[in-house]
Amino acid sequence: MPEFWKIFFRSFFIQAGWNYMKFQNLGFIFALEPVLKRIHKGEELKQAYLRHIEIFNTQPYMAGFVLGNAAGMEEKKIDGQQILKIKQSLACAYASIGDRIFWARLRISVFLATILLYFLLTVLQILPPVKAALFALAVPTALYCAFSIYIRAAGIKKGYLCSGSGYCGLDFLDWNKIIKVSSRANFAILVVIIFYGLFSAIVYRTGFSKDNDLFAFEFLFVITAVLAQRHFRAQKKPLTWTLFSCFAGALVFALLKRFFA
Amino acid sequence: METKELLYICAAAGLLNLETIQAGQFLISRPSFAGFILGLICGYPLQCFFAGLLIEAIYLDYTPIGGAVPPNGAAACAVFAGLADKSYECFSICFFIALFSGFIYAAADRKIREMKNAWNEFYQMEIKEGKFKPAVWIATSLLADFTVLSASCAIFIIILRPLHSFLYSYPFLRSWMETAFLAVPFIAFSSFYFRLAGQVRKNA
Repeated sequence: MPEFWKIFFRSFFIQAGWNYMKFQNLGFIFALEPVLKRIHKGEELKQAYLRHIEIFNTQPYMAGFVLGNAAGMEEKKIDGQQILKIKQSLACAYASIGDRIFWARLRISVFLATILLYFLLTVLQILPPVKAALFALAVPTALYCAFSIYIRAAGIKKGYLCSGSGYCGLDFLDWNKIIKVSSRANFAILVVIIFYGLFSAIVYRTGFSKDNDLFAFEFLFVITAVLAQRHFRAQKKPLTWTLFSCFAGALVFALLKRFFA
Repeated sequence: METKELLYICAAAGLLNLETIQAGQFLISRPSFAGFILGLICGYPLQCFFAGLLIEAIYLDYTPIGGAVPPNGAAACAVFAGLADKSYECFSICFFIALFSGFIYAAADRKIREMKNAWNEFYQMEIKEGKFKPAVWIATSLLADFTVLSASCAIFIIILRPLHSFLYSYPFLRSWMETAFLAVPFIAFSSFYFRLAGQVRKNA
């Protein structure tokens, strides 16, 4: 595909112009523009623009699969309605896969890896705190970027090669395996962080009062907050509910502390 | 905080916000990274990094799936960097103000997206007239988001500074905030624990 690099760089702007009516339509047409301009001229180009300015929404890293496919279909001069049909079905499928992998798992992996790396580098005194923070931020982010950029680029190529197919690229990687492995890895890292955090809170009383009675009170408050979080989560309420209840609880706690002091 | 520093923070937050949604999505604008970068501008990167980590722990509960608009990490970190100082004394107060600023900006973000709905008519019109230039619209969109976020951050910091001073000046209110803050990491990580345990169970 002669416009591969143009589509690739433009695909980074797929979410620009995001709106509730047609979602990523502007970003999609911007990325596909070089191909459309090469293939179509005059009235045909207008029709192609009108075709692709319609509703489009998928996970941004996975958009490459749909972009490549659409570019290929435009080249093959497939019927406009058929192009739209394939584009929409692929957008839904890739949105589901991409949301589960990137937003629900790998984004959390990056966050947890940052904390774990920072703990390791500072506790073992390998780097001073500021450098440790920078390193802990940069390394997981770089790995995440490398994978997401690879998916974007490979998606365009794969989509172009199997263009016209309604399940094009869905078997490109073992998505289920990625989901399984990242879920387990996230959970394992989280357990380590929680153990370290609890150890630090109970043994060193990090953030807590050094006074024994106050510490008991504070720990009771924290346990209540965690229980409140479970209660609101069971009712499918967002975390803000817990935060507000925590504020109310902290007010009672602060009043009691003042009263007993 | 000097006006120049405030402008730098707001401009940097505006650029970071573009990376969140409009361009790239490289996760450089996630709250911990954005906090670190904005902290470098103010001279206390580590404090902003810690605040960013906690803000991120809370905001990760909100997933940007479909049309959902999660709270804005860049705005939250800019407010934190704008209100905090080198000492950790007012950390909890700045943290809560920043945390809720991110939620408030999400409402503004929804309005901007609604506003962009109207652009669709212009696209259609321009296409029919043969004048359609997507790059111009993309640039307009980037500029609009950058301007709105930078201006909002400046307004938030200026308006919320008196609230921050008020909360800080009363020991009782400070103690209230510090107690509430104590529960934040526990709430965030327990929420993570049950969420990730659920993911492992479902995919076993």
